[in-house]
Amino acid sequence: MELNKKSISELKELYSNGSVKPSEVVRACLDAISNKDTEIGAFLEVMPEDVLRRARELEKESPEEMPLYGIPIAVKDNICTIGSRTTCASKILEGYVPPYNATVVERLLDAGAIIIGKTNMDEFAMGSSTENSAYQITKNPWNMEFAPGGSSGGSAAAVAASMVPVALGSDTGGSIRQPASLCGVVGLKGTYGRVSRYGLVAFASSLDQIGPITRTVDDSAIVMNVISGRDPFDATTIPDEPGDFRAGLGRGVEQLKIAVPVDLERWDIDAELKDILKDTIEKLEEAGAKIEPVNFPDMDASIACYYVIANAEASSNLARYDGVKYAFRAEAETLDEMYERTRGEGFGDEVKRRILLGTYVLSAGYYDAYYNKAQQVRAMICSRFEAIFSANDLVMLPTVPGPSFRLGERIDNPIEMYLSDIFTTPANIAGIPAISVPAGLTRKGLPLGIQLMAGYTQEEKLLQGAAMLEKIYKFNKG
Amino acid sequence: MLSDDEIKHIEKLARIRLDGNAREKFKGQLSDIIEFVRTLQKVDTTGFESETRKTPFKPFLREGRDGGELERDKVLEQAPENKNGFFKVPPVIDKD
Repeated sequence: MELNKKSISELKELYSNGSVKPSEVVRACLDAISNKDTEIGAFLEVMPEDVLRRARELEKESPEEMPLYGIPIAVKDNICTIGSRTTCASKILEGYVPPYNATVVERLLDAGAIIIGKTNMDEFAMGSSTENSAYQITKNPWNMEFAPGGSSGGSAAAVAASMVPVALGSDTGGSIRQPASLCGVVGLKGTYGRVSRYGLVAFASSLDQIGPITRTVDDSAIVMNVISGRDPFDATTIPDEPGDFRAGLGRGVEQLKIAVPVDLERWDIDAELKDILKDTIEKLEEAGAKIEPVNFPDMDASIACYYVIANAEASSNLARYDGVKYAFRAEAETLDEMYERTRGEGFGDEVKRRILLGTYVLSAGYYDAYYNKAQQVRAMICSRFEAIFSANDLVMLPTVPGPSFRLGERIDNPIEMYLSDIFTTPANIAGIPAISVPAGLTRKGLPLGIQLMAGYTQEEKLLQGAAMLEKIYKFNKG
Repeated sequence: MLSDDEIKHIEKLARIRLDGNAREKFKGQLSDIIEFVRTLQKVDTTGFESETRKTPFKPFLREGRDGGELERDKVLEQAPENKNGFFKVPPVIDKD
């Protein structure tokens, strides 16, 4: 019995009937990590002693009262964890140990989960390949020469390689869904405000959301049930009770209206992915869904809008790394020189590029032309989505235009890298929930993903549709 | 293409110092990215106001009670330098 390959619901069953103990499950995951992670590089830190101690403590408790009893979870390194380093894969936060836990971490621990370690990412979640980490490269478990995607590449690779059943990621423009698609796992970003951002190191505050990366749709729903909800420490969290995200899973898609963008041909979508999409449409129709062609918001405008807003917000959020309060400082004679040298030496290239771009679009003389214009485009995109969801339940499109790419292939071409997010950024701009479901493999053996989006706060419907896709694809790493 | 003066001005605003090689590389890359986001200006947004907050819910305020604050010493421990309960920084006022 390979315990590290079990889903949350399978593990819950095994705990309930007393056939396994948390320390056995944790040991299976730690063994998988020590066997595989030297090559894959998904984890920045693993805490074996703490993990085993926590597992043994849990053994004194009853599994029935805790929804994530004994479930090992990996956490992206931009989510604060007391007593263990939280570096955002940046040199500027090297060795930083937060004095508090993120709200999601508190909720996971209260639910009985075991935090097994911190995962690699693009520095400050800026990137789509995890190559922007200051510490290490993460490889795609399906083919070690390929990128795992990003920025939550470590989390996606850890789940894909069965080192853990679940990992948390964060998604500002696709950073959960894109690596999930490239690694053949499920990645969910909830409605903006569904999950508290308290303790998530801020990148772009109007777009950031934490969400689960799992091997099954059901597991995503289980984790969302634990981490969602209002938090007094995040004023943007949704006040309504979230309800049970598992409720719609077995419901099928009869009568569901699923919108598919009419002009997908405009983008260079992988041929095998196009076939999958076509086949999915037929199968969904057979299952009783109504497929509606719709005019999607302008995706070219959406990605440009995203890069203006995200980087403007980032340039402000990252102003706090000045060599005064956290970790790294470059020595200098004066305060100004210390700021400039600390930031010049402490940030990697992509982070510097984005801060400079964000600073530029907010600067006098350019603010209206870029930032203000981007906000108007944002309003337009939101209104287009409102129209789509007033007549449809879900939108379906690829998560990424194609499969993974070779490590190193895009690193020197920022714009090509940005275009990998073309289908994911619209959901962040509109604040709506979206999920990537693994759909199949290319002939070369690389995973492809299909994405669903739903209207504001409609995660239940989103997961209902995702469960049907999962049933159609029967995707399993085996 | 951004000029040398323009990129130096942005560096100054962002408090990021680039060395000469990085500045050359960034000048090209940033110019390309600016060109790319400039496509926004072609989008007809007539009738749409600039929107900075995308949520139909009103952000709420926490009750005015204490709780959740961080311990001063634990916060200062993470700073590169601290002294007598303060963050320590290089001189702010010129000696001359």
